[in-house]
Amino acid sequence: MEIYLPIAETPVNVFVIFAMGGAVGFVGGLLGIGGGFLLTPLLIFSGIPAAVAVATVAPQIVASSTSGAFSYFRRKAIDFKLAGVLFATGTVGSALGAWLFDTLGRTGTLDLVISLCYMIFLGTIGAIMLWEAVRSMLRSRRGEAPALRRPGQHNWIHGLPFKIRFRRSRLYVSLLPIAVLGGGIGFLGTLLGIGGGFILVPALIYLLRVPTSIVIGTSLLQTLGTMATATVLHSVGTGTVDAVLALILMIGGVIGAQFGAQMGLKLRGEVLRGLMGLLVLTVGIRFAVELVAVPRDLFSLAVLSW
Amino acid sequence: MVRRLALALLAALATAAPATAETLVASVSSSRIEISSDFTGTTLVVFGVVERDARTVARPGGYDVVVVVRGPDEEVVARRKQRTFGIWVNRESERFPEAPSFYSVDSTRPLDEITSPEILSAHDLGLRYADFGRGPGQGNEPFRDALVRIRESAGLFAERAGTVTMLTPTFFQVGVPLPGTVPDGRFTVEISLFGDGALLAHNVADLAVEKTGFEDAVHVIAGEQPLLYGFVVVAMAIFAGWLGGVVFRRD
Repeated sequence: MEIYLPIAETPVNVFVIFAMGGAVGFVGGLLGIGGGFLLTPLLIFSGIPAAVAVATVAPQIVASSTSGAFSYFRRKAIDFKLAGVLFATGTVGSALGAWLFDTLGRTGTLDLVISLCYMIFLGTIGAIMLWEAVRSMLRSRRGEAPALRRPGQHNWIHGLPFKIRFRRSRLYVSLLPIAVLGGGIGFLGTLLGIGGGFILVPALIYLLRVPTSIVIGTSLLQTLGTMATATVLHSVGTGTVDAVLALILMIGGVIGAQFGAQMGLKLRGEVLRGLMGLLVLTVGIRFAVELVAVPRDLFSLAVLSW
Repeated sequence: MVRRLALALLAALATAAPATAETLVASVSSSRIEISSDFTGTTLVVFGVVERDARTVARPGGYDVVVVVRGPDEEVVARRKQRTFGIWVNRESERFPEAPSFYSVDSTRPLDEITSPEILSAHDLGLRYADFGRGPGQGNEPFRDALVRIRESAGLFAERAGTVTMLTPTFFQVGVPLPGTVPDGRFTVEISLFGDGALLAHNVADLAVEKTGFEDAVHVIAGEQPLLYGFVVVAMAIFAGWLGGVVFRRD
């Protein structure tokens, strides 16, 4: 069944888009991530303009993080103060990201910057994740105990000034790393159409020592807020948020995530992390190939005004 | 645009002149096309008749008809990628201030068999001769060719010879396909009648391509009330997420 997308201005097959949302939702549910970093490239590779793909994935991430956030809210596993600080700084980052998105779009370098950023971030993070998962798999095969980090351990981040207390996370930490983290993820998320959960969760655990039980709910709430802001900013800025495309993706994503989450309960932690690292790395390599390989067409068109 | 008006005027004068001239009477199957959610393309039928009277000169070579369907003009920039530090980057670019968003030419025979390149380029006929706000021959041919090629493969530009059929020596008909990706706006349908290599008559009809229904509402609100649109999309997303969480609640 073909449907006409009002903002992308192109007809698409509903079932193909629905399946894409479902597949990414499944992987997201399996690995406990939003999957924006998969969905955006998938839409771009399938012919949706990069600007529309990035802007439309934002509301899709809002939907997927809302269902997750509600369930963590019922379990009281959210640090609202931490999420609030992350969100406030994330909004500043989002505004910067939306401004840059708009500017790059007008000079014809947006696609290049999106591809470059995806290649660098996904390549680096994917390689680190895969390496870490393979090492821990090898260690457990040799029967060694994994190197546990004691929660009381402090690092250089805990020596920074402007400290505030987060009761829910039992944390007394400087505002600076939180602001950098929130702002950076807001910026990247708005520019690249990713929720940033796959960066935020490890950062909160390893850098700030937020208890693992609270991290995911808090990260989901931060993602929800930042991506909601990104949706509004993109609507006002470039006007590339496609509500119809977003709706189909959301329905597919929400359903797929449920099956993925059930599957995820049956797999071991390091296997999951290994899979995720492999996936992230693959998408990064795909972008690298796209950038280096001789393009099918050296020319491209852009409509400036009408 | 001014040139096209002048042309229409000239054609009108030509048809008014006695003795040699033919009159062109033509019509379009619909003057309004609606793009709704299930729109995957349609065919616009253009038909007409060449009226002659007793004093009209004989045309043993027969008539040729050229039908141009042209969408609203837009400013388009064509960019060329170059390898820079190993990766492909957009470098040179060329602007075309009046590139049509849609342009199709149907004719009875290949255009260069119908008339001369001078006449074709004077009347914006054919992909090789149409004016995009920056005429050919200014060192921008690669970019102009790219514009034509990319739009052709997207189904937005087309040049088809032999598609206009003469059902009788004076009655012609053509079905012009409009693809699912056709842009909206005010279109023109220009019908030109040729005989012995000369333009005999010219006729212009308007065609409105409009988005309708839900898609149109979304498009209009997104354009006119972007802030409201953004908030509605966010509300929709939160509702969808909440509903999903409730329906599939496991704990």
